[in-house]
Amino acid sequence: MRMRTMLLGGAVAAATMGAFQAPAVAADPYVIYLSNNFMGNDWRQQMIRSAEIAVKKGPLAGRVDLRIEQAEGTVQAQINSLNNIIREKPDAILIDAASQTALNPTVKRACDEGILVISFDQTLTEPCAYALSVDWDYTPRVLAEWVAEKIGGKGNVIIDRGLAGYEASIATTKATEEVLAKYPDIKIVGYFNGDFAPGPEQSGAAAVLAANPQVDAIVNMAYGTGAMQALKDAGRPMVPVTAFSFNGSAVACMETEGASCILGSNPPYLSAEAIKMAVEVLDTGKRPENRAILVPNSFFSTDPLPSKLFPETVIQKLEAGKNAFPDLSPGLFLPVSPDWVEITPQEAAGQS
Amino acid sequence: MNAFVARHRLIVLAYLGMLVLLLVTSYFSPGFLSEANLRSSVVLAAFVGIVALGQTFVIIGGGIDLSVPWVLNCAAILMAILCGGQDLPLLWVGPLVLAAGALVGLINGIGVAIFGVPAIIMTLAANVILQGLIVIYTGGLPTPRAPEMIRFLSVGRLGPIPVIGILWFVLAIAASFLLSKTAFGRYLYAVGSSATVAEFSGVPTARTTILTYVLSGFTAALAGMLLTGYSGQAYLGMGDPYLFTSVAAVAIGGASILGGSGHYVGTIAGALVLTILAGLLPALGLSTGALMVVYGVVILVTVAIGSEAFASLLRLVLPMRAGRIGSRQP
Repeated sequence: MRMRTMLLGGAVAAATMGAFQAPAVAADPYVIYLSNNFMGNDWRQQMIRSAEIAVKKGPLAGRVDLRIEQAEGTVQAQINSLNNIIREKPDAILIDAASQTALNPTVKRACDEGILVISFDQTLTEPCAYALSVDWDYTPRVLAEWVAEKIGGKGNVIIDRGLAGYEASIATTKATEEVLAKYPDIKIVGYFNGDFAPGPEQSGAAAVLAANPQVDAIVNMAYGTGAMQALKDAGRPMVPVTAFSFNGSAVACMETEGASCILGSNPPYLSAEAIKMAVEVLDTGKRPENRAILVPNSFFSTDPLPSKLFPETVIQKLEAGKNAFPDLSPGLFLPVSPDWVEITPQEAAGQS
Repeated sequence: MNAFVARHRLIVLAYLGMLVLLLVTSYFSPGFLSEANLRSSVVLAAFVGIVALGQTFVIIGGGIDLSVPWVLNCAAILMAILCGGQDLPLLWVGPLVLAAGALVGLINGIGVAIFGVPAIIMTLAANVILQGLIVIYTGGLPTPRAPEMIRFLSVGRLGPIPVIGILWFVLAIAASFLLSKTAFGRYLYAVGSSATVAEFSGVPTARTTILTYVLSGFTAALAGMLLTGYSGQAYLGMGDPYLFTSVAAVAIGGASILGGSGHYVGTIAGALVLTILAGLLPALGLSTGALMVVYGVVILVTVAIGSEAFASLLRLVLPMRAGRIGSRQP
């Protein structure tokens, strides 16, 4: 079932890619609004920068009049902002949503006005809006399989449960447990809540390490650097860790003696992918049938292993200067650029 | 010895509670008493302890400082950006950031002591303003890595002893000296017990109150810099856990939240209790929700044990010993 959505996603991508090759004859640039509800973390800021850069060069240069609307904080603020946007009758609205459902009625109105709506990252459930994201069920499974194979299908694993009560955390944890359950000799000996922040991750991992004299791998939901520091502080040898693709995590994995890691990703250039999709749909007038659009996941590892569960998975080997950048901010997210336009690491980090 | 126990009953209780919790934790988590884990626990407790240092002074003086999360966070981000991952700039950035923290405290203190703004409103507003300022200041740039020097201060060690543990110890001695041996300390208890009485007795109440907030801003900024060293980077939201823990550490340490009593020696026990508790909970293997409930309940129970009501209850149950247990510092 999951594989089918994957393939559909791929098919849509292939179809739209094909359309993209066709010479575009649009005269005026499309007016596309990007509605964002939160600027309080590095990811969202890189997401906005990626959108701004993607419309300035490559195939989208001159094609889009991008207008970014920040609706800070509340769901209500984003609804107000969207209402104002709808009055402008733009060609498309891209939304990183404050709530999966609360924006639905407003978004429905936008669709009824004939405006193309694409939600991305924090997607919407409204059927008339596309939902563009990475596959959040697939990513943790690849990470869990890698870690299980890396420790030879045998040993004690501890798991970061992320943020208490957060839906994505619960789903990620469940997918991890399901994969690990296929290995009878792997035992999950403890859990902690990393809260998507390095400090809590480190203290959480330290506490579980103290309770368990033998830990062979750590599955993290964010940085992984906290877990590695906790191992170091406890005087334990490095064990395989899974984490997500912060530049700081990638660099730490490469530079730490004995570390072996796999990093999953949620690329901030989802915004650029959403813009590209909007332009393609507006150019061709053809709307993809499946509203769930999956952007290909990227994986990075110090020791890539082939995935048996998902043989099509590509795991890139971490290399300084190529896909991880010791000179740039640890808060930068990898990969920094999709393959159809070049966003340089410096541009993504806001340092150009 | 008996006189000391009688005078500082609540503080002694806090340390007893800490010992009980330590025994329970080492039962569930056998590695907890290992040298490495005790060391990492001291490091974690130090962050709470340092933020709670200023908070202790503010609370003894009858106020509360709710601006610590974003003073801490702003200090962390300011230091990371101004240092750009280098050690050398720390020589001027460090004092600058600490002074900035103290300045926020000064503004809080003036608002509370001179303009009579309620402490909750004043410091909460400062917290929100700082949060906004830092988002404007960073303007979307992720912050660079923490300088190695600050990493050494927070995760480095001299022999078996963590550097931050030594720093905390020195700060604790300084705080205890301020509270117990100086005119400022005596004024502070007087102001916290009754600002009016203190005023009529010739105590410089406004100056005393302002100084507590300055101290709190200073320690929150210091903790922010050290915490950046611990995480290796500064990030938005890093101060949030320290609002509840700093106030809870003071309360567990036996201070009256209404002011006039308490001591930093108690707050140290409070910081240790919170850290040991955070180490115990994951070892229990409970669901996330259950953990949060247990965390809250243990803190409430610990504070309740030190309360006057509990002492009265003890007096009813143990009438023979009531005199000694119930006696309190005037």
